[in-house]
Amino acid sequence: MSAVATSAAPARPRAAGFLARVLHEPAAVFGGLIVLFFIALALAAPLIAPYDPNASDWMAIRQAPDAAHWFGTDDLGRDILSRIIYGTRASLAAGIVAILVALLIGVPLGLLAGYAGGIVDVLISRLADAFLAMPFLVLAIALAAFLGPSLQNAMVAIGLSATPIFVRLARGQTLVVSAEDYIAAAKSQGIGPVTIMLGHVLPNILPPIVVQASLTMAVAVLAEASLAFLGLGQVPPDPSWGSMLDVARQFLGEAPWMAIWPGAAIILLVIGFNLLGDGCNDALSPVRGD
Amino acid sequence: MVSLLFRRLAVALPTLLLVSMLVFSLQKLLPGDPALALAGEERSPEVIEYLRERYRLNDPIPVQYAAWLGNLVQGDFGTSIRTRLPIGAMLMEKLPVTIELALLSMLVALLIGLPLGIIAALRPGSALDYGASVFSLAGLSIPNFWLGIMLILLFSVHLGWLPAGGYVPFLEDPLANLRGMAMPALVLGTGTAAVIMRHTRSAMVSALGQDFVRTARAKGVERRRIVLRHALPNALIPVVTLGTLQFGELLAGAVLTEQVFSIPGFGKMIVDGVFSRDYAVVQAVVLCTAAIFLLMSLAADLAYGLLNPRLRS
Amino acid sequence: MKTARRFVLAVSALAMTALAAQAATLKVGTQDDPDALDPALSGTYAGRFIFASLCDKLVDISPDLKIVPQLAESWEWAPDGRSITFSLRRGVTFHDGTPFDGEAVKFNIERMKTLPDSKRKAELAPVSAVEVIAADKVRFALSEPFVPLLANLSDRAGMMVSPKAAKEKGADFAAAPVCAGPYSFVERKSRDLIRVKKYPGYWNAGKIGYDEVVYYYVPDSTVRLQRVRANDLDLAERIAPTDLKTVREDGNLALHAGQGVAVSHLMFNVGSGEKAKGPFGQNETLRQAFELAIDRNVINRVAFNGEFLADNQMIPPSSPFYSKAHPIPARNVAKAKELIAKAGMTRVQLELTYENALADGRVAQIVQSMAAEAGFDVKLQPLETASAIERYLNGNFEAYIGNWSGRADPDPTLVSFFATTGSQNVNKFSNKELDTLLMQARAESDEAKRKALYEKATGIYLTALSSIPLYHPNWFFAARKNVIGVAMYPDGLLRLDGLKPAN
Repeated sequence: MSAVATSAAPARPRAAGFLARVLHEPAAVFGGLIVLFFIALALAAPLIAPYDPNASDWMAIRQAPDAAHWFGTDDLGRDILSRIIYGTRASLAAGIVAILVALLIGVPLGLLAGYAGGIVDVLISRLADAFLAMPFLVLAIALAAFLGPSLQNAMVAIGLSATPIFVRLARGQTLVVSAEDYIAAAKSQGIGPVTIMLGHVLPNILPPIVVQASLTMAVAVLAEASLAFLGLGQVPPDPSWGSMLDVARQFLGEAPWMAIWPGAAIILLVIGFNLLGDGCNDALSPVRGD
Repeated sequence: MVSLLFRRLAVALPTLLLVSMLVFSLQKLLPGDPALALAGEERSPEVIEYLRERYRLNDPIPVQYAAWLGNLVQGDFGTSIRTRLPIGAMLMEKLPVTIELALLSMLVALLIGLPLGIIAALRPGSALDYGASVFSLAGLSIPNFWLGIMLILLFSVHLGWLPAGGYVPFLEDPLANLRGMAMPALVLGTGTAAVIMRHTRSAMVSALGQDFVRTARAKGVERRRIVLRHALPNALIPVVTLGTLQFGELLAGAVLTEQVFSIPGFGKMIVDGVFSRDYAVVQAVVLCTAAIFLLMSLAADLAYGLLNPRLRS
Repeated sequence: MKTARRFVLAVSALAMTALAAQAATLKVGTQDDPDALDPALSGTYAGRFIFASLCDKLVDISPDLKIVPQLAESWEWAPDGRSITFSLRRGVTFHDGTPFDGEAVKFNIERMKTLPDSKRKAELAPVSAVEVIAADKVRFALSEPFVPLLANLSDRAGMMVSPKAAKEKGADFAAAPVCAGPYSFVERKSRDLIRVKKYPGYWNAGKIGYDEVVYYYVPDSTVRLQRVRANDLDLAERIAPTDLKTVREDGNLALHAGQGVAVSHLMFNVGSGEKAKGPFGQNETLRQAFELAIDRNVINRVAFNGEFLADNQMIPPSSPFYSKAHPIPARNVAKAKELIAKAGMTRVQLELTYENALADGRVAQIVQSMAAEAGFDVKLQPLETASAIERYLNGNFEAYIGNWSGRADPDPTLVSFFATTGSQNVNKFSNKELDTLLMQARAESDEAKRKALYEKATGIYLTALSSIPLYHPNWFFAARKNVIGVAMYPDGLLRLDGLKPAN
């Protein structure tokens, strides 16, 4: 599913004031709160989780939710609530690291392509297009298979797959901003290209990139769950919502709670990122057709 | 129009070539050579070496690539290393399945997304509008494999109305085919419905805010006429474009859904190919998908050009 | 005139549907998609499952692991055990009409020995020549006595393909195999279905009740069962142990269970490369301690609802060569700790590699959890299949969860895993005394003496513990009640003779 920001080319986005406007968007605030909630869960996991997520109680296999286990237990007798709480770490890490990878590689490349133009632009754009022509998940699967199943590798695979989106976005925004007067002024003042790119262009292309980053983090969380579902993510026994779902499939009839809770967790976190992204998007373009 | 077509094709072909090169180089990156992966319980070094020779796995990558490309141009997609079956035939078997799934999903998406988007645009800020936004948010946020599992739980395990998976060709038994496709199409369709709903809404809102609409309203033209005869056709233009693009996305998004519902389509073929290191299969399928993707973008551009009167000159 | 034509059409349509209704199709759900459908090249269990309907073999096994006639009616060993003469069944033809005779047998054996990527070479290694004595008599000359030959010939090594088709089709044979089984090949859609139809010229056609069999590839065991329950499939193989309750409670289904010869085991790297140099690879005391730290019954109960057979030996209890003198040791965490201390350590690390399948994953986690109590820090290393197989083959692991589908004779299993040159001996275990015992056992035709030899051999490998066997999977089929005549065999394969729809 593509989750590209629906803003048209914004008129002179400015870094300053953006944050203030974001804080005024209810969607952004709500989404931000959800994300913060999960971050808190991830950080405070050892304090909040009622059980050790990897501790098995052989006598309590696949127990329905009750007073002892609020979310029930899984097929190896482990407390699902604790596993969900600890699983937050995998999902958040996946989202954050993947986006960092995509940003650190994609934005400079897009910036370069948009600013330098010419053959550099053609090369970078063609490469990005080629990567984009491959189905995102397939690329992530192939990369994760190459790197081997582990959370870190899944994060890198997702990040690399998301990179072309940021290359395109950064390039597009750079083209728009580069045409602005203040850039021309800076050039005429003899300021070097690197300084211009980093000091003048970059800050002004950031807001739409932030929007896209939030939306892509949602996709990254989903992708991590998908990879884990296929067996390419977090190594057991450490919990990951996606791999919990994979195992839950076998026990749908007897233990549906094994599938319901991890799914709910994924949905909530992804909604958080999507709302945050949408809110930021609305903050970007204050005047709309409404 | 024709020049647009040629220009876009001219760009698409090198991209396709680049894709094929990237995919081909993936085999160098993927650990585990297919000759080993082929071996079942009985493995011996001689057999493995023979297989490597036979499939030219020992040749340098550029040589292998040239050979593969040469065959491709003649219509030979190669042979599956694992089953010794011709890949071209496999593609022919599986493409219709994924296309059917994509079409049905698109249908579901349009049936849900279009009306919701239109109504939401007609009553901005209302409870309905809010509800539609929530739906669209949910559609984007719910992992489709989880939704698939939940639907199986409801419709197969508890109610027993629909099969938990499997595919029957349409020509063999249309009813069984549709029963098997119902849940997968619903799963894929809701995600796309969310996107379509959003775009329809914002396109409608823009269209309704146009000058000619305001003029018509000032002239006293009935609201319904305005919506149907003026606003809607203009709003549909970007939606058609989006729809065509989304179709390409659906082909890719089907990967997990096909896995959950055991549907023998493209998506499953890729996953299986990657996992069994059947490079020949992966190359062929990714190339095909990329080609369809690019074709859909082209079609989207064409559709936009055709529908948008301003561009038609 | 129009009405007359419509009438004729209607009648013929009715006639066709009536005819079609007569044709009984058996829809089977399988867990895996086979690789190449050529008995010489196939290496997957799924392939064997399909061959059961397509390709007859010289001999077969009975449910109690005895060798019974199939394409060969009788056989006679020479007194010195260096040759065996088969009397072949007469009037048998391949699916393309080619007659089955001594020449065909010779062709097939030679093909399996000489095809470059044939996987049957080890199984037929001792066969030095095949002599055609008459159209219905062949003699196999052996380079040394080899008792397990018949067991090997009851599997793919004994499957006969049509020489005419094999010569004509060459490398494309696997795309449309031609054999001599009850059904002939119709079509195959990769990773989807394989369709076969009744071969009217089959020598035992009277016992074949279904006109057509379609094997559907449904990898998810729960979905497979769902489809049988929904009457989309008539029979499904390898039902997950956790789903058995559902089958038992469903009035439309019958559960067919059988003990299997397969085994799942924990293999330790004792001699291959760097990873053998760790404490486990060097010290059999630690491996013994590990065995004491785990409880096979818990593994069976938790991972498989107690439906499999926990065991400590590579061959199943149903085999006449199983050792009753070596029962499963009970879990003893204290003793395990003692043995670790004896080896001079307190906590020991172990990396456990395995294919990322649900069953192995569960077993691995249970083992990890139990072993931790005794002082073993097990780190799990799941890999997807291709990577796992590569590591396995290269001996690039410390410990590996292996799954072996088992054979009718103990020789292929024990030799493959424990003989110094065994094909599955990827962990490079070597014990000269064991080698000698195994070689003697494969030449010994007296069952009592053979049993004694295997008894000694078992003692050796259960002390060295280069592999810790964990359990034998049992086979479970779920079939609709109207499928009559399902017989369970220790190899878990569905045999089609005697199978028919209820009327």
